Amino acid sequence: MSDFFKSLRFKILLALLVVLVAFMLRAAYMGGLGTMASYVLGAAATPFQKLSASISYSVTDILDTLFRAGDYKSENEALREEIRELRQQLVDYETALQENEQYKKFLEIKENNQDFQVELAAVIGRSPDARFGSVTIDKGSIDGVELRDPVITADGLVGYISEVGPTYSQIITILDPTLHVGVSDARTRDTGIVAGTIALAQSGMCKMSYIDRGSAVAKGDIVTTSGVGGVFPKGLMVGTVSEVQVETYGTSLYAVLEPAVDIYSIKDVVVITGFEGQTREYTAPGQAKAQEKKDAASSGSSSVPEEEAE
Amino acid sequence: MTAIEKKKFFAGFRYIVYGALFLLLYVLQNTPRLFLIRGVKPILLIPAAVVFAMYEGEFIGGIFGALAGMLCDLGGFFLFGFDAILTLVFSAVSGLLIIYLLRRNLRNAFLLVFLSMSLRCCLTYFFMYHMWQYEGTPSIFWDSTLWVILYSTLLTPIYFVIWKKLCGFFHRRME
Repeated sequence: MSDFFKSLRFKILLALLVVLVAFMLRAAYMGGLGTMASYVLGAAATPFQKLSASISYSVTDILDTLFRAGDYKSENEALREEIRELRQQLVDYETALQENEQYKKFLEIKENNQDFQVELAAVIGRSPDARFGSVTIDKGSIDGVELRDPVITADGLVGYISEVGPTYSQIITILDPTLHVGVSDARTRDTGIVAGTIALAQSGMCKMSYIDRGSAVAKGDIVTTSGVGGVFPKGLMVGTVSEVQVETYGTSLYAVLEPAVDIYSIKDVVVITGFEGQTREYTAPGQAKAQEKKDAASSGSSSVPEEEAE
Repeated sequence: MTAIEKKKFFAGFRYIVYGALFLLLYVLQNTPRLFLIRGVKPILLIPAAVVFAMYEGEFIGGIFGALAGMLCDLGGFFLFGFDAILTLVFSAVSGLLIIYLLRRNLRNAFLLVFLSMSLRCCLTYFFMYHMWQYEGTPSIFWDSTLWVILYSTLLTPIYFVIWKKLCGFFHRRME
């Protein structure tokens, strides 16, 4: 074996190892920006990945139909019964209304937010070790997508762009503990921070923390983004409060949120590539609040109003 | 085409076939829903690279191991280069072990793949989750990491047969 360590082959492998370490250090230094090697490989692989994803969706739908034929049969019978009952009502009207609502949701995003510049994208990859529902989409820097662009569906917030290649991007979701989103309760106006926890992420839920102890946040409340920090625009639907609990040390409350979007089954998303007041310098809302309080204290101000700090 | 020209052609052509197969494995590995069982997907590229090195030796195995690792990095959510470095080392070591210490059989393929996957997944778990002290981190290990290791290792016979046939085919053509 000692011959191997003296050979040219060993020296070439060692050189390759050094180059890879350099790649890794560069990737660590550059944050979410990929290296040249990842761009080249990504550009080569994305078309195949798109094709494979579309085939996989079709095949799994067919297999799903075959394997779950029994379930579908019973479901079908139940639905037939339901249809009989609904014949007494204005079925056509209701159906048409629901379909119309679905189409309107996408339009509403644009209509309600005239300042949004959006890019539609399809999910083309889910890695085996993807964190908390993270996915790869088929749009990248050549489509105008940039790091930390918010990602939504017609139902609400999904997450933001964590890495951008020329033809692909990666998204981390609101189920991820590293992503902190400033939010407010639409009914009570109480603010908080939404982030994932490992335990809740497994059931597709997330946590809204730092709710004031005297808050009236309750089950069923709708939670939207507060626009803190400028990473996410204000007013995006995040989820619905499913329970409210007191934090371990009793200083504040936290709420368990059911996200408006089913993170683990998204197929199509909308990337917001620009909106009024956008900043891509991500600071977790909790950190921003602490920093502003620190700044205010150092400048002699007695306190920072809650609204300002948020 | 003379015999020598044929040998040269197959010597070069095999690398294109190997590269294409790794690209195919990358696409299969990252295709949504494919091979998904109870929320767990297998890692295809690293075990394939380790078994490949058992047939092609430490040098070619190491280089294709680096390629497989870079493809893993491309679809993954960790530092670019992490999997490439690990897979290069796993493949080169596997190639050397087969040359100097172990027999090239299915049992040893299972052993090398299991050790490689365990080390890789444990390191990833440590750097991605354990180090950050998230609440409930161990559940990730028991519910996901462990099953990814087992699921990925269980597919070893498939790579073993494919590489045996394919590498055997090219080696016969080059003799």
